[in-house]
Amino acid sequence: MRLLLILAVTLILSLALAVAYPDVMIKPGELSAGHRGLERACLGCHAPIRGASSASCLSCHKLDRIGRATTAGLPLPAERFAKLRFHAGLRETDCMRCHTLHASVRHRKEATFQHALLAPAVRGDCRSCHLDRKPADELHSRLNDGCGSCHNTAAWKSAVFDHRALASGTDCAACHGKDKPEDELHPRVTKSCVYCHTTKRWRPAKFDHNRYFRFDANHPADCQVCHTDGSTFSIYTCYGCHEHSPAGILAEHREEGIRNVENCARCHRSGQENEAEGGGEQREGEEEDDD
Amino acid sequence: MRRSLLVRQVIPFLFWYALLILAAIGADGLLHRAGLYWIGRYLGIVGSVLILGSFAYSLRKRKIIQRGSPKALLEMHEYMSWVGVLMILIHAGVHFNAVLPWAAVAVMLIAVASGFTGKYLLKNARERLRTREAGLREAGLKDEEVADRLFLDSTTVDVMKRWRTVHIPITTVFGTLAALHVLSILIFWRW
Repeated sequence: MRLLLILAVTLILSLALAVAYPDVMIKPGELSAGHRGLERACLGCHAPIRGASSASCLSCHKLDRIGRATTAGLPLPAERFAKLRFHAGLRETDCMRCHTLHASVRHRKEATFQHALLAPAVRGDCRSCHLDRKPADELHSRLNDGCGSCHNTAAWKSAVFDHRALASGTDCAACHGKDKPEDELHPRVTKSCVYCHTTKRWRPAKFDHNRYFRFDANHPADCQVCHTDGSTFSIYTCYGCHEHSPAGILAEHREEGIRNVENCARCHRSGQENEAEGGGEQREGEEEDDD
Repeated sequence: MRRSLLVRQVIPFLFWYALLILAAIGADGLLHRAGLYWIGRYLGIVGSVLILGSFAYSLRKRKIIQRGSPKALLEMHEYMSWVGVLMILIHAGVHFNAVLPWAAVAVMLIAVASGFTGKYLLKNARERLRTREAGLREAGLKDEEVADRLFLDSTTVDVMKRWRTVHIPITTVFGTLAALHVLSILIFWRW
């Protein structure tokens, strides 16, 4: 009985206060500046059980007037408010997906702007709203495509950089000049990074020189000695030093019946002569099938 | 020298009570830093369900339900309501907007304190008081001397008894305020 009395008193007192002072008892934070004065008119926007409705917003805020004029009809300057005019082409009119009048949830709504509600033409033209967001750095000055090539609509910072959007093509050094390692190999390499690396990450590099030829003291990693054609690493010659001459090599290999002595690395994967792998090498009388 | 009840039990009780609040503030801070503050919104629902579930003990105690061991249900009541309160504190966060939900939180914390009193303090305190009283009498002290020596402890136990008797009424007030808060959300939601 005592509990029932406590329950009844609490209930009646709280309900009375909530009805008399809804702005103090139940309002979740201050109303935005333009809506001050509606503090006790909860049902002006909120339909019981169904909640706040967009229809009540639209009764004052006409979509095609947003960014053009105030609700009182006063014109708004384009230089400040043009970016709000996308409202006219919204696919849905669910105001509460992005907006709230109450301070306690404003930060949450502002962080979750619903790009999906935008008309496709507006959604694809990021710069129509984010005019001032393109960084004035070297990287972004080279980019021509829309922001959506790298960024998503959730946050700028989770960018996935797509090198295909670059106007500089395969000129990696234009951006990555400082990334070139100062080791024994890389300073000698004059070709584009894409010969060995992908645009997703530097490591692992796809190129493994040992698969073709293993360096040693007499055969150092000095690219230009073997790859004399500056345009590609796919062409090489072993006749760039005094040790190997075409005539001498041919004479030596002719004893074995080998007459193609241009593609040495096909059999010799190192400078060790006894490591030669003879399988599949052309000998006299065989069809030439070099690539 | 034997330490008083205040040092042995009231201070540890306050420590664990403060820990509950600090854990809620810490968890709320972590959720905000991780950008997961929206979870707090739903913790209010989960916490309320846990607290409601913990009342199975109250129903068993009053023989409204017949199944379940009272001791096990009491332990479940303590555990579920503690976790539920923690979740509701995270749900409340440190955003001071409307009075009704904050009144509910304040009354909930008072209800927790009265519950803690029953769990942590009262039983041990009574036993200690009896043991000390018996010891003093065996030592030949007169009633007045015993009462004088046990003044602080007996006063503490009396305060605890009062706290415990308010647990259910205060919980009733909390339940009513919380129900009104939920009702206001259902009526005015999508803000």
